[in-house]
Amino acid sequence: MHCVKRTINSSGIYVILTSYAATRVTRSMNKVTQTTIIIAAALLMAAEPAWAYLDPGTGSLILQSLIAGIAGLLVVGRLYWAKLKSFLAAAFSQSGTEPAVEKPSDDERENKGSELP
Amino acid sequence: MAIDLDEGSFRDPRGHIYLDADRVFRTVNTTGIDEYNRVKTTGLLGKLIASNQLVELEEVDKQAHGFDQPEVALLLEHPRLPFISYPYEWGFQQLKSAALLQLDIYLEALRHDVTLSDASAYNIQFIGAQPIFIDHLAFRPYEDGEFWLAHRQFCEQFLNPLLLRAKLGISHNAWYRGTLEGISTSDLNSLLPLRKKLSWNTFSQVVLQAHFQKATLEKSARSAVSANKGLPKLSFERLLTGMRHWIETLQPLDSGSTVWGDYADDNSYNENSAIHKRRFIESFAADLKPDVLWDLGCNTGEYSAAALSSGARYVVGFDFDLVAIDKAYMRARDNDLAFLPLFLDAANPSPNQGWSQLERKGLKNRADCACLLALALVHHLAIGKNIPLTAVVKWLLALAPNGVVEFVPKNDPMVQELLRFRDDIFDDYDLDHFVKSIRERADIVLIEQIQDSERHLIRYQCH
Repeated sequence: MHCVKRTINSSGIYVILTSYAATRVTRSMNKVTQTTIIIAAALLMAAEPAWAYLDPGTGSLILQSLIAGIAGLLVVGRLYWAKLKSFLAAAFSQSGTEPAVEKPSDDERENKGSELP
Repeated sequence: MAIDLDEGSFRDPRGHIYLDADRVFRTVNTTGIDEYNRVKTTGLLGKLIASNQLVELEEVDKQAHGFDQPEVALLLEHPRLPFISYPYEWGFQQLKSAALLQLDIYLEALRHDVTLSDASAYNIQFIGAQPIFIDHLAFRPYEDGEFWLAHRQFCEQFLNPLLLRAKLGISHNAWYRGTLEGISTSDLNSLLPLRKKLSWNTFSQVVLQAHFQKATLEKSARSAVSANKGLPKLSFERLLTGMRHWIETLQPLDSGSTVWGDYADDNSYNENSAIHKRRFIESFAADLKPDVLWDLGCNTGEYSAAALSSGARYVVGFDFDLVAIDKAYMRARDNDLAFLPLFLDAANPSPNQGWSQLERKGLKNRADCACLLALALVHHLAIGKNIPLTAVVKWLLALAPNGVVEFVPKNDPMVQELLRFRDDIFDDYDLDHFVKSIRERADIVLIEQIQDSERHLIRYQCH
């Protein structure tokens, strides 16, 4: 394996980590734990690219995957929050209620929306 | 080839450091030349050098310097640093400055699509109060989506030692000197009480990381997974900036006063004595204008600064008290002094250690100072540590050919404090014995009794 990025399914890890936490509670963790370990092992093996003479440590890589996952969730969350806000704004303006603050034009809303990934 | 390989330079196969008297060379091997050239074209190295964050480099003729091994693709020359120090000799504020520099370099590198192959604290050195990065081969092209592979090392070598002091009030120095590679996340996690783990930063970087590491170590698994994207660049940058903001806020838990931290304002001599002492040091430094002067027992650096203002070009200070080291470092930083204060227990100086006991050099092996100051130090060794007076003199005089030592007599309040709860078994601790012992190894150039005090300053020059 030449490089970490080519060998790790990071989105898989978020799912596994989330499920892992859940199964700690339900005690039905065998399969999930196995998968977690397999991914962890893959991370460990993937952490030996040609240029690296440093062992990065599996715990660190899993943590980074988790952080990336949380960041991803926040982005998705923000997208839905923006959608909800624009839906409510549209609903209020249709019902004829005077908005308390100057509301953005449709164009502005679209522009804002396009900033999100 | 008469040039010596630096014994600490063996980890990275892409190149090595060689020392030749006052010159420092770095080979770039055929295995590393491609990455070096790719990084060079991004302009990163030039930018970091221009902002004094990276040691300068010059590409020189390898044949002309006798580097004819087939694996050597390119030869670089760097300016020699006045003194090589190690993270276990730094105070908290120095380790913190070094950590921030490491993160700033990472962030700048990412902006140039470059990353670093490690995050070793030994890759950072100090010139006065200014931290500077010294490993030009640590840089390599960034590949989209790759992890921060040196994250664990950064935590162990920078973050965890800082947290140890910030969260628990324990200094990192002795522990770091023992392990050489810093403080493991699992050890720190075991030490931290629950209430200290409740912030998101500590929870994620210490508790979670230790947990994940343990989980993967306890079970064995052999398999592989296919394809994916890893850590997005934006997340990488946020991880670095988040770490930077956090480290910026860290301060020692015990930042109150210690025994010596307030010493400069609270000692057994008055203003006349201090002025006299200062003039003695200034005339010594002005006469000899040493390139490097060592100030053993530098405290907050008052006399180091005096030596610098009157002719010394660079001062390395040493003290046992970590609060004094931090204050001395602030003095150097605020006044832009060529002064590097470091932690030292003179009765137990840094040894030769690491791989083959040559990787990290002991204090003696780094002693190439022309001049020495040892003010109010001898009584701590002779009486505080029971080291025979003649042995103390022999050790001090072996460090530098010229110096100023202060003799504090038994009736001085500071010595009386040391003797307060113990028998006086130090029959030969007096000025006569001290001077006689110096005369066996050196000429006494000048001896003066400090005004309004019974202390003496002795300037010597070795035979």
